[in-house]
Amino acid sequence: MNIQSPALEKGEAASETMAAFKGIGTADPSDYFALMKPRVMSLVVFTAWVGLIAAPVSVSLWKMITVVLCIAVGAGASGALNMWYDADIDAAMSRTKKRPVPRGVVRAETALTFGVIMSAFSVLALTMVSNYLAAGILAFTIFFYAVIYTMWLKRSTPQNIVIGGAAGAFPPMIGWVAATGTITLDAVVLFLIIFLWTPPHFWALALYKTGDYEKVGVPMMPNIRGAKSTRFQIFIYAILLAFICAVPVITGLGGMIYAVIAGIMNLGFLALSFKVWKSRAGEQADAADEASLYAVKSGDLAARNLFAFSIVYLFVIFGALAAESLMGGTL
Amino acid sequence: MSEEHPETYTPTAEELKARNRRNIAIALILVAFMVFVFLSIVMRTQGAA
Repeated sequence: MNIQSPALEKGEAASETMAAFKGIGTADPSDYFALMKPRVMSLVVFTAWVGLIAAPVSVSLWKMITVVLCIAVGAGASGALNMWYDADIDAAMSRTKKRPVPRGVVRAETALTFGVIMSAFSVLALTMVSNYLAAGILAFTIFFYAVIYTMWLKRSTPQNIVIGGAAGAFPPMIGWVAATGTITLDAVVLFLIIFLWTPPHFWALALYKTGDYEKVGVPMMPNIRGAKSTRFQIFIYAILLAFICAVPVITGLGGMIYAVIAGIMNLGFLALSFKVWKSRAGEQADAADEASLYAVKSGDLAARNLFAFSIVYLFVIFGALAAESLMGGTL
Repeated sequence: MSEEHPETYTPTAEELKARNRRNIAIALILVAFMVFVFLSIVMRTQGAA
């Protein structure tokens, strides 16, 4: 399926803004930092760190800091490449129109150059501080996010964030491989937790931002299959996520602390997903405050609550794994 | 644009300040990268010893 984006006409306004960009520009270093999607980067940094901590080998503090830094820069680089390619639709979406490229403070070509250079730096540096396999997975992750997801899947299929979610799921695996040098079952489980968490997380947001995505022709699940089907799929993914979260207890990656915390968090996730399934979220006009990620009309409250909880959920699940590993699995 | 050099562009004061801030940031990043490379080599060498 290939959807012709009406945003491309709206994007013309953005192109005009960008075309009006002359001279040496007034972009601050903070604008370049914004290109690296710091909010996404914080999640990447945390999960990569947990991958390093949870690995069954001791890693020096220096290596830990440098590996996480490399992964963070690689994630930021792919964010910049995403902003380069998506400049047209970003300009038309309320959530993204204030990004540096649509605002006209950074040229799209500059974002591309910045992204390519930072990608090269991050992969090279990770090779230096860890191993070729970890660096190779980082390079593949950047390629996957920038090319497979951004350039191909995002505008062509409602499964975009299901498959594209793999890019966000690799960081803990990279951390693990940087520490151990190999891909084990536990590394794959860490990957799968984020992979299965991504669809309910993004679809919850998409349910109350439907208009935004529809406006720019991005085929998110609620626009293509409808809100009802999306709400049901969210619940199915929540069940799958609960199952995969039990695997670390079986493999020994997680012990009692993890089992208790993961149990409580998954009950919460399942309950909120069930509420979304039974709600009418996504069946009315867009969010109350277009620029806000959290302001919603009452019918969309269940979706907003799941979206907010899903962020806390991932931090707590990975935090529990890290805490247990740091305590040496004494409980 | 000057008449003698139609291709040149005179930056505004704001643009010059922004460029200066960018230059400082690039300089700091380069210094940090040099420290990173140096320490990585030292750590690897010590690890191999």
